Amino acid sequence: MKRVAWNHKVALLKALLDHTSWGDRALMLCVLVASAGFIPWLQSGLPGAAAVIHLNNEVVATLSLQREGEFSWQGPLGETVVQVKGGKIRVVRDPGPRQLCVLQGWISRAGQALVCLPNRVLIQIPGQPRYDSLVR
Amino acid sequence: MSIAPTSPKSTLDPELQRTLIFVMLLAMALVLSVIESMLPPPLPFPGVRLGLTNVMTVVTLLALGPRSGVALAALRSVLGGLFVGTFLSVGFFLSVGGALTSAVVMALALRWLRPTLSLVGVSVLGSLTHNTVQLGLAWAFFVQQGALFYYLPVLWLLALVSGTLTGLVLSEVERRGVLTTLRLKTMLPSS
Repeated sequence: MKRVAWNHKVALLKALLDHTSWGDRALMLCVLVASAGFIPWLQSGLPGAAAVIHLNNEVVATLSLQREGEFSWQGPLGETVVQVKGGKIRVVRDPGPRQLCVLQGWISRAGQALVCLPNRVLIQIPGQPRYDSLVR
Repeated sequence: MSIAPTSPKSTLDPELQRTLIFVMLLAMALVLSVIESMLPPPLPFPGVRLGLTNVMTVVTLLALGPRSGVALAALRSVLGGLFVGTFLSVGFFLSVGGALTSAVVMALALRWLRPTLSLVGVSVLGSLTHNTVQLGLAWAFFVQQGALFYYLPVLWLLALVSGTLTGLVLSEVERRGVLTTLRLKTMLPSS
């Protein structure tokens, strides 16, 4: 079983080498370096103290991440339920069709955000990831 | 491809033949978008799709030319929205904008960057454009928060993966001569 999976990986790599030009590989490498380099930075924020809830581009609440509980807001599609626990925040229920913000799970660091776009809810932990010289 | 008449001496009007092939490709793109909508999102980030319908956009660009390719992308995202039930929702506008701009970028790349970039590179460029435009539109019309752009690197990484996979599919489609057959049928000079 393990061997089969390994053969598949080799086949994929071979297909990749057979079907790409040098230009392709250069492009792919640039994208990989540019994006992968940013991902550790995204996780680098300090633990946030509070989360700001936006509804329809307006701030409707600021929740301390130390005060545990469930809170809910009424968006254009229905109710979005948010849970705060142990310095983290997540979306428990959302009427959005693809449930993306629910699947994102917990966030706790400065600069992170949960976006329930269909219901126009944005939950943001204010501040920036640590090394802000990288984006300026 | 044995659906359309196979003889080069077909009695069909060439214009009609082009239209028939276009409609066939559109139908395939729509089936793919319905299938794709049934799959669960692979990762919890907006705009993440496998991009199978993108394959049909590139096939059309190559077989019928840039205008037909862009037209296919536009019709596919509007009709696909109706089929899947996301018509006029937030995601629908993002998907139409992303599909149109990525079709235009891929048409330009096929025309100008082709020997340097193979179909895999063109497909990667297309999905990078798709994801970037989607995020830009989400920012411009729905959530005016700079924090949204923190997703950009994640989206690019995902675009790299999905663009490469669909590009490999395309490359194989071309290797098997499907595009040449279609081009012969439409009497378009091979590019």
